[in-house]
Amino acid sequence: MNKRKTIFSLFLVLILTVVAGLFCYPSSYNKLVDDVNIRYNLSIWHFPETDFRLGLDLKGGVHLQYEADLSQIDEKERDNVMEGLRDVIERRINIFGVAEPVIQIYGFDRIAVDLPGMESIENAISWIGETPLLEFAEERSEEDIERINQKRQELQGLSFEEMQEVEEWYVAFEDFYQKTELTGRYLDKAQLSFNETTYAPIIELQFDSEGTKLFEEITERNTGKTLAIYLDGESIIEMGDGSVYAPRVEQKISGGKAIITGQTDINVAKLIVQRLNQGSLPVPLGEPIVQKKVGPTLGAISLNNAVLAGAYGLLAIILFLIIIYKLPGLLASISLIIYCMILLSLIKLIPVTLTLAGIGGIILSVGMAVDANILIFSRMREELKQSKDALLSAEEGFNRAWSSIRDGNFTTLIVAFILYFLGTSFIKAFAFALILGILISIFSAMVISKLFIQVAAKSRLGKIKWLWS
Amino acid sequence: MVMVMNFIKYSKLYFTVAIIVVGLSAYSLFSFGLNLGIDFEGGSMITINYTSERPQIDEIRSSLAGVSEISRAQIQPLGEKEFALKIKEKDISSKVFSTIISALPGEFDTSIETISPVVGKELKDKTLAVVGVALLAMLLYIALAFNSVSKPISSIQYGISSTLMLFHDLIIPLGVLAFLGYYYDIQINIPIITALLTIIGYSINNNIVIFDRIRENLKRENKLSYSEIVNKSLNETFVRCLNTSFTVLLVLIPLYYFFMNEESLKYFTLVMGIGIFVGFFSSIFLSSPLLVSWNNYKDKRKQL
Repeated sequence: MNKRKTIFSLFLVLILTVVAGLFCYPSSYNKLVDDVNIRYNLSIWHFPETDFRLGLDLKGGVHLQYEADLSQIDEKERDNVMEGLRDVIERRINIFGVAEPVIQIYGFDRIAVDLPGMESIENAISWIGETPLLEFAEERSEEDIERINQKRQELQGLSFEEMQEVEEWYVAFEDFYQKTELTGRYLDKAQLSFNETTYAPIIELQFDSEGTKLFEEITERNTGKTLAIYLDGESIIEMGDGSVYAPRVEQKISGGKAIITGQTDINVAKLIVQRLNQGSLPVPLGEPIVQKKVGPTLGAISLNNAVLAGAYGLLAIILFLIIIYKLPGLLASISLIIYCMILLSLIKLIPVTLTLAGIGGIILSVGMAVDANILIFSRMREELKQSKDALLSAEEGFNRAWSSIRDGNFTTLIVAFILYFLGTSFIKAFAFALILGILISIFSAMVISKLFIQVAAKSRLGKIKWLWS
Repeated sequence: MVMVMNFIKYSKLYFTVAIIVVGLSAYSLFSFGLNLGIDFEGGSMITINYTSERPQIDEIRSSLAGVSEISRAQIQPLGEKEFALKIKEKDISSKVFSTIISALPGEFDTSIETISPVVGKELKDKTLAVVGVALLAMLLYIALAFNSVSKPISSIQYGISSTLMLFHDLIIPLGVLAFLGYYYDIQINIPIITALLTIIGYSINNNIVIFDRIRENLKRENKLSYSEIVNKSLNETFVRCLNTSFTVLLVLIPLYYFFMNEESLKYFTLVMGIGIFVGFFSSIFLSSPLLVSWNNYKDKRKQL
């Protein structure tokens, strides 16, 4: 490598380090920027202060797993039913406002629910456990609508306390639709089909015998008007303008078969069908098969301890490397610190949810990174003993250690990939951290450490023998 | 100063020691069995972490006497502020948890875990299957990577030797765990499985580093016998193996210290420590000497 190229590479590593470092720990930089901005009236850019995403075992919260009873469901429909079920749980949880819930389908009939920060398992179970309620509602009479609109105008611009002074203020908060007797209980199923000529999506409803009678009555008295569909008290899909999804009834429908046309977006139509089915086919969830709750203080203790243990472990490794390998050890320690910063900033960026298992994977990968350096230095020493100079020994050391670094890391990677694709969520977290760590560790040993050592060997330090052996 | 150690000379002694230790571990494993935790057997565990001092265990026991569902529960103190309540092979409902929590005296934070036996069994089966597939893949990779050195022994033998070492490195910690499980009720949980996976990782890596050196020396040194080449390679990689194992121990010591109160992670580090130690022993004193003995045996048969 010529000189200019070396300086350029060093510069790149420096930038990488600074950026990664700022991602890991932006707060003091941002404070400094604030001070400078105020003093010199500048507006220098802030670094985003994102937190690490912590798993339930480190942050506290509730984890539940359910098994859906799919025995009554046609095999082709099962995936759809599961999707629908996840959707229901998600909507419920959103109503109660839990930050960053994670709801996942796994296996073919299981659903896992993570509720960070949640304190009560009992509440969580009761939120999730209810079957969704599908309701059909008809338009109110014109006088009623008029009344509601009038009240709404009356109340406009008033504060909540002032509103309550107004007579019959609650009328303003009523919907334009009133519930009918027809609910999801009477719906056999809903499905999606397509118009044969235009290929526009069609939503088909099939009611049971009792539902057929009710639906006939409702459509008879509402011909020409709209019929709203509610799920859990809200419009079955978001309409964007706050109104309720309500198709128009063209004629009286007997026979229990109805179709809804006019929905042009196929994805929206699919969603409506899914949600109609949720209301009609309540798959019993029952008691969860796994319940876990981690208290917030217990989680915090684990995290603090993990961070402290990691810091002391790193310090011990650095001391060891410097004592045993002197100058190359010092340089490797610097590249090890850079390695940690890159790893942590990637964990923030991707973002990877940190769990104790993930931390285990990270520790293993740090070990592999150190091992790569040790392999290289052992080789370098052998070359130095044959009285080659520092630069030549470094080159040889890297070249000849490469095959064992490659094979060692590669086999570990294979194992990690298999664990990742076949493993359960805990093992997955371990494997993912390991894969990420190994890839960065190869880079840090073969690129960053190598660069540092080449630069040092070329400089005056290269002549001082005891620094190298 | 060049010190040459002869790793091959006493290989019969090393093999004997290894066979005895593996035999003892296997005995422990088969007579005690593994004490699987609720992750794998199903069951319930509540950890209670008091804000100040924990009440006496007797007091806790008597305050829980009224909850009939947990009459068989086991109460285990952890550190100064915590205790755990364990119910084996039974998942209890969230209502029972509330009853327990309201029955307990004092101020505390809780962690709850309850897993149905079906899920536990599934996790057990799946973990075994995944580890099996991973080991097979590793064996294949080594056989392929060492394909270029099929003399004097075939590349598949390198694969078999490293798999045997893996077996050695895993069965010893498992034997210790079976012993601890039987006498001290230490249960195998998911963190311990992670430790075992990590041991697999290091074990593979150790063997590959040494085999790689043998591979290289086989190509360069034409005059030396196979046994001499293996010994030379072991001498060259010994310091590296020692240093690497030592650095892992350096990380484990603070880990053990900071998680002393957390049962699950304390045994994670213990198992890792044992694994790293026996892994170092097997990679230096067993895996490559085994290849030499294998080769010698083949030579002898040829002469007959």
